[in-house]
This record gives sequence, structure tokens and C-alpha cells, in this order.
Amino acid sequence: MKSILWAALALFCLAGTAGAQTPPTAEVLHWWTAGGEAKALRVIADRFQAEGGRWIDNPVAGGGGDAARTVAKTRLVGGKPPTMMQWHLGLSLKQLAEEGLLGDVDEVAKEGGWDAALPALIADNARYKGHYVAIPVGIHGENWLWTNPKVLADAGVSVPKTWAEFDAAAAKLKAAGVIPLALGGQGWQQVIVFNAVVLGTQGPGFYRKALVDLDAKALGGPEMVAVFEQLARIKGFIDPGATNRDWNEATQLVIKGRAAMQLMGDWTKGEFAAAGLQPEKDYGCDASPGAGQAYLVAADALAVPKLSDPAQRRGQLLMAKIAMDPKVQRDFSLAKGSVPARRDVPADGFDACSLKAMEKVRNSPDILPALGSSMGVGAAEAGAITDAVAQFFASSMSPTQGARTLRDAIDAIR
Amino acid sequence: MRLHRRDHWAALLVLVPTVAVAGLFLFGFALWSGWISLTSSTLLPRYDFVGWLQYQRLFAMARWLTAYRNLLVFGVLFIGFSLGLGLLLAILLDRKIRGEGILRTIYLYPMAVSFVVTGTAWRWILDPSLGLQETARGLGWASFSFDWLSDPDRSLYTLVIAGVWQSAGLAMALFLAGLRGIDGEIVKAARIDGAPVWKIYAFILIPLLKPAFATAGILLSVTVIRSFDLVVVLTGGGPGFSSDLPSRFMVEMAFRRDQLGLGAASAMVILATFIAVITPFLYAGRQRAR
Repeated sequence: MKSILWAALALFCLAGTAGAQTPPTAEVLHWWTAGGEAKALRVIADRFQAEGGRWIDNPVAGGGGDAARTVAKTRLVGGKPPTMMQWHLGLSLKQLAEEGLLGDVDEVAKEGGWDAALPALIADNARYKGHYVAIPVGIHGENWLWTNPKVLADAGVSVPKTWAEFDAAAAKLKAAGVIPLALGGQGWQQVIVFNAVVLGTQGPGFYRKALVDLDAKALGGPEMVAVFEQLARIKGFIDPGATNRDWNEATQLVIKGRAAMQLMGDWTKGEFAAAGLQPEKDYGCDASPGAGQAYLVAADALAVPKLSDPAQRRGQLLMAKIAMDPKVQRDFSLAKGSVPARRDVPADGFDACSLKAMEKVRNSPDILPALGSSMGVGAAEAGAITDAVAQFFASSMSPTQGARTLRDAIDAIR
Repeated sequence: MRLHRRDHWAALLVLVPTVAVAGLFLFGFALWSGWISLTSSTLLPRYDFVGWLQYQRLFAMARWLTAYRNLLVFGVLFIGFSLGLGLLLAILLDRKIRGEGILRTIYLYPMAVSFVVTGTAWRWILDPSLGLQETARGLGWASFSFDWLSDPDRSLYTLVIAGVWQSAGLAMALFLAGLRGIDGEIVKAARIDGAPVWKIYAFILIPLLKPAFATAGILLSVTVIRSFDLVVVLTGGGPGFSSDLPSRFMVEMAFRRDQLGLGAASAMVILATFIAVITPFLYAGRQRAR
């Protein structure tokens, strides 16, 4: 015990005298703790250390990031921010910036040509009043249709390209005795289906009006009733065991051939990979019905807290340079199953599903924020929409009532 | 034995940290939550004053009203069935049957398991496509149906089933200890007077179990308030939010949906409800002590 105290004291003195020579330091607060995520962050950490930086890893697991975000908020407000912290791009990031809690990495951004390299949606949401307050590392997409090709072939159907085709295929699959759509009856999973239906039946323009601008007319109008009519049909294509089923249990149903399709984000790929399956051979990854090239995205990013310690400030700038380096972005996304935020990263090494995603991120005019991404609406509004959709899935209300519930939920929160 | 003056000071000194920690973390933060609930805080605490706005918003939310009503229904059913079943088991075990030791252990065993394990196991058992229903149908009973878990009107009762399964053993142990603590002479005297067994229980023994009822009641009420994990694992508050409970609502609003003020308001309502429920028990305990 005593020796530890002495060692700590010695270190403290050393740190005090070293002063100017302290290497760039980064204490990074994050919740990338699961297999692929941890490996992805390791890519950045290794490079940071190779360039002479001192990396202090501070993972806070639990609650899908809730625990880490709470710790981060407490430290920001308490005036002891970490050097870098994992955070969502978008509104909650801007709220932190408004409170004056964030710094920027503009000098690195200008030098690295971030404005040109990033898709507009991502760049806009990483900036506050023109300053880069966060570093976007990777992009995840939400509107994917995962399929078991053998099950589809046995029932004599192909991957549906529209929601009308989906209904026809699902009816055939149901008649063949398989679950047409594997779904977990948790609000956030049901809302992924809802988003895909809004996008696929009403198009990207309406998606933006209803689920980004929260236009009252769009939320309660006839188009939204049509969306709920489609959802009502989907309710007939899921099994009664869906209640509170986790998303990966639903994926297992597709893998085992008990179900044919699943609507879920690109993280589903990890579940297929763990089962030893190859994309576009053992399982299909396609755009959700009717989406075409439109892509609903969320971003992985590191926020830049405002701080005064020079070593940590140098750490922030070095981190910004490294995390936006094309090679680092490529290796990060390969490990995590996302696609790079930069559009100028070479595409070699990525699998068939990721190549489809990269094609969209680079060329599609309709890169839209996923509902839960914080780049469109805030957490409160996204939560209210999720509640309304979950309520519709759980009850026997009519599509008209569904649309009204949705509009009322948004009204109540304003 | 009287304490020496020095011992007295030493005792106080030893108590100070505990009192300070309890004061700060229980009462200090409860007061702070109360203050936050009167502000417009969203992602971060903001110290403005908006009066009862958050409470008005809270009681206008369908999800909160469902969660709050669920708390009352779940609380009454869970405590009622746990006490009833516990009492029944205790009385049966008290009949000096063979193998009492083993049975007592079996009934008390669920207590050793956390709510997360209980919830997961019951979710599989009650899952209509895997568990009880599928098994019964597989055995040839094709019309058998037990899908409470996916029925929004009944999913709350699955929480009661799993909760009672876990907690009835605790009530049983408390009642059994109570029954064993009663003077055997009383029962003997009643027997001599020719009272039937059920009358001895109904009019003599059960009324004597009042302290055991109070203890079990308080312990089970605490379980009701902190049954967060059971809901999360068993039903996830669903289908929809039909089986949501206030504790889950609070965590969801405060930490996931960036509505700190609303979450704090719901926490204050939970606290007030808990105080209202627990006070009679504590009061009864005090009366007896006098």
C-alpha cells in the first residue's frame, strides 16, 4: 500500500516537472465494449500510441450507452471533461455546444478537407455554427432487408423490391409455413419497420417532412394513414412469440430458416458472420422494400469537449487527424461493420453488403437521418414516435387511429 | 450500563460518516430531484423554475398513466398473492409433514435467483411459440392457448406470476417462523375446547401473525418499487407499453430521452406513492413498540 502511494507521488512530481514534454494525451470515454466495436476503437488507439500519444481508455458499458452518456454529462457539467467522448452527432451534440461545453478541431478539419470528404448530412451534424465539434468516424445504415435465400426459393419468391411485392411474398411464405418477417416486439425494432414503411411507401421527401421536420399535416395526413395500413398488414406476417424478443434472437430465426426476412440495421451482419455465413450467398442484404437508393443513417462519432490542459488539447488535435485518416477509417469500419464517414476511402476489403452501403453514401442524393440517430429529431420526439408505433403494434386500433395517435404524441411533447 | 463520556463522543464520531452519507445521498439527492422536477431540464440540468409544468405533462401522457395504474394493479396482486400463497404454504408445512426440510428449501429457492434470471426463464416458459403453449400443443392438446405475454390486456399478469413465484417463498418463511414462535399451549387449549383446525388457524393463529404480515408487507412493497429488472427482462414493458412500470418510465425519460425534468417529476410521484403506502406499516410497528 505504502509503496503504491510513493509511486503515485513520484509520478505526480514527474508529471509536474515534465510539463512541456508531456506527450499528447487522450482520455477517451466510450461505450464501444462489444467484440467488433472494441476492435474498431483499438485501430484508433494503436495508431494514436504509434504516433507518440498517451491513450487512457475509459470504457463505460451498460444500457446501450446510457451509462456512458450519464457519466460524460456529469463530467462536462462538473468541469472535468474527458479528452474525447463517444457521442451522437446531431441535436444532443448541438445542445452541449450551446451550453459552451465543447471545443473544436477546425484547424485539423480545414487541413484534412473534411467539408469535401464528408456527406453533407454528416458534416452539417458534426458542426455547430460552422465549427467542427465532433469527429465522425463511421456510418451505420438502418433500412436493410435481411433474407434467407433458401427459404425464399423454397416458397418460390424473390427478394421484394416494393411493399406490394413484400405483401405478396409474405402471404406465400406464410402459406408455406414459415414466419414471413422476424421481428422483436420492442419499440425500437418496430420503429425500424415503421421508418422503412414511411420511406418505402411515401418516398424520401415525405420521410423528411414527417420524421425530420415533424410537419403536423404530414404526421396526421392520408399518407400517414396509408403507412399504418401497411403496418397493419405487416402485423399479420409476424409470429405471436415476438413480444420482447431481442433483435439477434429474431436474426437467429432467419439463420435457422424458421423465418424468411428481417428488417434491421447493418449491425445484423455481425450475427450472420458469427454463424459462419457469407453475404449474398448464404444470406441476402438488400435495401428495404421501395427504398431504392435512399439510406437512413446514424453516425459513430467522437465529441470534442472544451478543456484547458495543453497536453490533452494536443491529444484532441492528434485524435482528429488520426480518426479522419482514410486508412484508419477503413480499418475502423472493417472491424465494426459500418462504412467510413469519408467518401474518399478505397473500397477494397469490404464485403458485398458494405459495398452497397458505400455506393449509397457516396452517390445517393437521399442520405436521411434514422429516427434514433439524433440527426433528425431529438430523443424526446423519437421516443414519442416510438411509443405511438409500439402502441399501434400492440393494439387493434385502426390505421386512422394509428396516425392520430402519432400526431397527438408529437403534439403532447411540444 | 452507562456509557462513559468519552465512549459517548466516540460513538457519535463513528456515526457521523454514515449519517452524512445517508443524508447526502438519500435526502440531499431526493431534494435535488424535487428541484429538478420543477425546472425545464432536458439533456442537462437547467435551473430555471417552471412550476408544476412537468407534472402536468406527466399526467397528460398515456404511457405514464398506464405505468402508474400498472404499479397499483401489480402491487396489489403481487403482494396479495405472495402473502396468500406464502401463508397457505406455511400452514401446510406447519402440519408437521414428512420432508419439510426439503420442501422448505425448494419453496425458498427462487429467492436466491435474481429477477433477471426469473424474468428470462419465465419469458421462455410463457413465450407462446416456445414454452407452455407449444409444449401442450405438441402433446396433442391442439386448442390449448396461453398467450398472456403477447396480449396487451394480460401481459401485466405475467409479471405477477413470475413475481409471486419468486417471492411467495419469502412470505412462507416469515409466516412459518411466526407460526413456530406461537406458544403451543394456546393451540392445545383450543383443541381441548373442541375447536376445529380451520377455526384455530382463522381465529387464533393468523391474527397472532400480525407482525409477520407487517414485515412481509414492507419487504414485498419494496420489491414492487424496485421491480424494474423483472419488467425489462420479462415483457420489456410491452406489448406496446401495456406492462410498463413507473421505474422503467423514469429511467427511460431521464437517461434515454433527454427529459430530465419529466423523469424527475415521475421519480417524485413514485417517492410520494411509496411514502403513502409504507407509512401505515411503520405507524403500526411504532404503536406496537409502545
